[in-house]
Amino acid sequence: MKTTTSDSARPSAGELSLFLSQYSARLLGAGATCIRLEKNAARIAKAYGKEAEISIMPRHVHLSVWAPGSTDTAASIAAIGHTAISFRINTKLSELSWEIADGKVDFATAAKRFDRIVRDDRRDPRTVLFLVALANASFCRLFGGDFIAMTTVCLATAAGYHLKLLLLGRGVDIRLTVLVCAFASAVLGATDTLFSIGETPSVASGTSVLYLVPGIPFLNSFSDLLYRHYLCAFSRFVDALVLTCSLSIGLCAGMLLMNIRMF
Amino acid sequence: MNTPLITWGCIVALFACMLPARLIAANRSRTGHRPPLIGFGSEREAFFIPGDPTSRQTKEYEDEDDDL
Amino acid sequence: MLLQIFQDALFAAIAAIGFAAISTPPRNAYGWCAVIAAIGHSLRFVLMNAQTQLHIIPATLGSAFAIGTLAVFLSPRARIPAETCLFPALLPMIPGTYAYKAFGGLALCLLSEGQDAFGRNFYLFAHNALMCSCLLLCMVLGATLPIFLFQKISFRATR
Repeated sequence: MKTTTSDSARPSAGELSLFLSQYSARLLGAGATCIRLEKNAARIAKAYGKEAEISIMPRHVHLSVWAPGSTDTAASIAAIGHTAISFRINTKLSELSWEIADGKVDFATAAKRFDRIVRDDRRDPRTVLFLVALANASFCRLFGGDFIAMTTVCLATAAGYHLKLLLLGRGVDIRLTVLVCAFASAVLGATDTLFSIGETPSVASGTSVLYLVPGIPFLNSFSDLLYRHYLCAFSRFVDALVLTCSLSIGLCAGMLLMNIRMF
Repeated sequence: MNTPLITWGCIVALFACMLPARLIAANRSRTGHRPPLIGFGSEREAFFIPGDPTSRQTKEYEDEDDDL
Repeated sequence: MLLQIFQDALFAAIAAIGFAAISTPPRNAYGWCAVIAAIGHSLRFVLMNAQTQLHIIPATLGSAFAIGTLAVFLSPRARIPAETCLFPALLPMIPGTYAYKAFGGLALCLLSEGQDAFGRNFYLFAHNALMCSCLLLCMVLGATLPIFLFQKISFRATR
């Protein structure tokens, strides 16, 4: 059964606009698609008897909220933060939108819950490092690599990802980080070729940098394209393209120094 | 010159140095702050004799002086 | 053949879990991501290797559609948005090698001397870039089509 919040607990258009702009900026920063954001924001606004229109720009979200049949209107803009993609935040914020829509939480509680969700983005870097190294080794296998190539890729990925965490933690630019990590992983991935070990050294060289490919931004950009959010799609695509370009420069430099012809 | 081998050696050496350093740093942060093995202390720390005024007491005296 | 399919599914599942970990999905999503990725990737393997011998583009489109459909119907059980298990499940199929080979081709184009060398490198760039774009488009098209078709289910998963 669909319920709406009682009049006394309803926020003004200004309060709701401020909340929704923060909510939208965080949801987009966490890597949600534009269609997801539109649905969630409209759902929350409707629960409080308001309507909302969002204009999603590459670096900002512009929100307009109004109560139908009254002069209670407000607009706000929020900057989309450069945060890491987090499906956990995406899921929790979507859950929150449904809880608001179903009248399970009032506005004050929702605002508190939002703060808690945003702050509670726990990451365990060591487990992630281990899983990423294992994943890239599996990827090497999918491309036909043997056990030695898998081991090389696993170590090259672990070293590269470790370097990535270190550099990002020190606030180094992401593009430079990707370039440096791709170079390091490419050089380490070329171990099999250098010492002539294993049957598939070329597979190890080629797959050692694949963990740096920005898969989710690429998928998000094409998803936005399908829903006609062309500006957002283009900006996400260019972001992903720049990272791929950095990756390729690092990889080519590594291959050049290791005297490997990949192409 | 064998460029590939030198490049590979440099990268491996870099990681070989980085890993123990990171492990030591992580271990230190987990066990809490430990005083360094060699370091410079203040004159008071070096020549302190039980009964000497502590820094807190010194401040109190200074406060009294101010009141005067 | 069965062993090969099983191997493909297993390694695709491990790859999906590992690459998903970078984007911090909720804990209960890992299992679903692995299952969906294993089914999708092994389906592509079958489509490309069996008697059908499909080209990589239609094979990717078909398996992406299967991944999308599974994600839409399984996400309400896990109470997670469809994209949370859909996108990580697609990650093992991301055409990463095509992407960096396209850039490599472009770099070689700029460095090449003579028409023949330039032509060969430009072919390398254009072929890989085109393949990469087409594969990404097919992946997203195939995977989001079920979300579009079953909007009521896919946008209510976290309710």
